[in-house]
Amino acid sequence: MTGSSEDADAKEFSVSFTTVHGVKFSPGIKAGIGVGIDTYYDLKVFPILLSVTIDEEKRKHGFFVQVNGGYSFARYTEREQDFEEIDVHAQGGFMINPMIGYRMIIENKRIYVLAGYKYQVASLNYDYPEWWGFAESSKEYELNRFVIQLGFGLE
Amino acid sequence: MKPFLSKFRVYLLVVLLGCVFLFESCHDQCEDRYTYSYYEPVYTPLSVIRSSIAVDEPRQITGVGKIYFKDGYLFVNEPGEGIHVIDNHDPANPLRKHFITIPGNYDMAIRNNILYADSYIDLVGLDISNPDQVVEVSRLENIFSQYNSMGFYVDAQRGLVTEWAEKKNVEIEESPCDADMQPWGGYYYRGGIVMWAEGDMSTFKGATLSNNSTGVGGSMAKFTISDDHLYMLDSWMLHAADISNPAEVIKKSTTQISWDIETIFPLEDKLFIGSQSGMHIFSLADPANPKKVSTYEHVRSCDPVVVEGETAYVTLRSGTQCQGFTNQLEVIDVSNWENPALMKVYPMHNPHGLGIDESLLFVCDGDAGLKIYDATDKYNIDQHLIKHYDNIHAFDVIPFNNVLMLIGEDGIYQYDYSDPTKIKLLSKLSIKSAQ
Repeated sequence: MTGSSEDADAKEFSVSFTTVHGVKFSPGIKAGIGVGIDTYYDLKVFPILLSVTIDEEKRKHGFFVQVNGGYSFARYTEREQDFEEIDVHAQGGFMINPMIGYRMIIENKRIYVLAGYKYQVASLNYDYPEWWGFAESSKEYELNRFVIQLGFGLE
Repeated sequence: MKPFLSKFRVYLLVVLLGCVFLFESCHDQCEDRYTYSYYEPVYTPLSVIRSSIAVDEPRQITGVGKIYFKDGYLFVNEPGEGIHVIDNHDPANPLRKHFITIPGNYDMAIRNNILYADSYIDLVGLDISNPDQVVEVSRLENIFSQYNSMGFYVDAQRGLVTEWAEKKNVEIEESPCDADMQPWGGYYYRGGIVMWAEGDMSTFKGATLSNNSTGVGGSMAKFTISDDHLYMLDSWMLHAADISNPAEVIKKSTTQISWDIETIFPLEDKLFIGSQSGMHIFSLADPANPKKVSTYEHVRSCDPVVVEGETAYVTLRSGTQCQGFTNQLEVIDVSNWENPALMKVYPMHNPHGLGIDESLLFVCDGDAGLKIYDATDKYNIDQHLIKHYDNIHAFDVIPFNNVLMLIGEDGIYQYDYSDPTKIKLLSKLSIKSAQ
C-alpha cells in the first residue's frame, strides 16, 4: 500500500497481508470472509472483511472486479510518551477496498494481480488523568491508500 | 500472430495507470479533536451588586468565615454571600433570625447599631437596630480598589467577576497524520482559568472585646473598630475611616504595610497586625493616621494573634497556605510597644485560632483538639494545661462571658466554661457543606 500524510514530502509504503476464504455463489460471483493486517503510521489495523468478486471466468486469464469491506480493529504501536499517565488507545473503524484485478490460471493454481483503493477509518483516543483537567482528545484518521496486491488461490 | 497487447490487456493497463493517477493524489486526512471544559468569568455590573443588599429569611449555614458577637447576637459570615444573624441571648438555644445578603462579604465589625461590612470593593454601613429592616445608611465606594475577585480586578464597564460559568467546547483542527498529537494539547485556557478546586475561605480565629459600643470579633478579623474609627486591612494596606457619623463614613488614610498582612487586633490605643512574617504594632495616638511603632518578626507562617494586658499570644501554623514548618505558640512581651520581646515558645501540633479571657487561654490545635491553659504564669503555660479536649476539632474560638463560641469542622458549638475543667456543651448549629 502507498499513501501519504497531507504534509509529508515522501510517500509511505507498507506491506499488508489478507487471507480470504469463500464460496462461488453463481457463475461469476464469489464471496468470502477474511482477515488481514495493515500498517498505518503508528497503527496496526486488523480488518475483518467481507469480500465479493465478480469474475465471469470466460477465459483462462482475465479481468475481474473485487470489493472488500468491513470493520477493522486497531492497536497503537506505542511511541515513547512524554507523560506516562496519559493512556493512548486506538480504535478502528470502517474499511472499504474496491479493486480491479487480473487473474491467471496456471495449472491448478491461480495468481491474482490487483490494484485499487483502500479507505480506512481509525482513531487514537487520549485519556488524561483526573488531575489533568477536564479535557479529552482524539486523533481521527481517514486513511487513503493506493493498493497493489498480489494474490494466490487454489482450485 | 497474436498482438502482444490484447484488448483486455490494454484495458488492464489503462485501469492500472488510471488508478495510479487517480489515487496518487490521495492524501490521508487527519483531525485532532479536543474536547475540553473551561470556565468563563461572569461579570455582574456594579449597579446590580450595589442594589443587592437585602434581609432574607434565615437559611442553612453552608460555610463559615468570620464571626462576630454583639449584644446577644452572633453574626456569622457566609463567605462571599452575606451574614447570618443569630439570636444568641440563650447560648443553649441559638436561633437563626435572618440572613443579610451582602454580595462579596468576608469581614465585618459593629459599632453601636451599625454593621460595617465589605461588599467587594465597597464598604457598607447597615443599620441593624431593627433586624427585620436592615437599612443601608452609608457606602464608601471603591475603597477596596485592589479587591481581586476570582483573579480579576474591578472593570469599570463590566463590573466584577462574581462567578464562573462552565463552558464545554470541541475544537477540531487538521493535523499531520504522521505526527503524534501533543499530549498537553488537551489542556486549554480560553479567556478564563481552569478551576482546580474551590478556594478555602474559611479561616478564622480568636477574639477580643474592644469597648462597650463595639462587639467581639475574631483574631483573624481584617476589620476592627477603635473608638470612632474603623480600621480595615486591604491587600498590603491599612485603611482608616472615620465612623463618628454613621451616615457619612469618611476615609481618612491608607497606610502601606506589607503583602502578607492577615489579621488585625485592637488594644487600647494600639493595633496589632498579624502578618505571615511577623506582628506589626501601630500606634493610634492619631486615630486617623496609624503609625507603625515596631515589628516583631518570626518565621514565615500563619499567625493569628490575641493580646491581653502586656502580653501577646501568637500561634504559628505551617501548611500549604501558611508555608513554613513551624507549629508553636509564642508568648510575647509587649509592655514596651517599641520593642516587643519573645518570652517563651511552646510547641504545638497545628494551632489555628486562639482566644484569651482573663488569663484563660484557648488554643485550637488542629487535629490535637482544643487546649485550655491557665496563662497566668507566662513562662510555664504548658505546665498549666487545665483541660485538653482532643475530640473537638476547632478552627476558632470566641471566649466571652463564660461562653465559648467555637467554630468546628461541622458546626458552631457553644460551651459553658464557667468551670474550665468541665466545659459543657450548650448548643450546636450545624454547618451543611454546599455540594
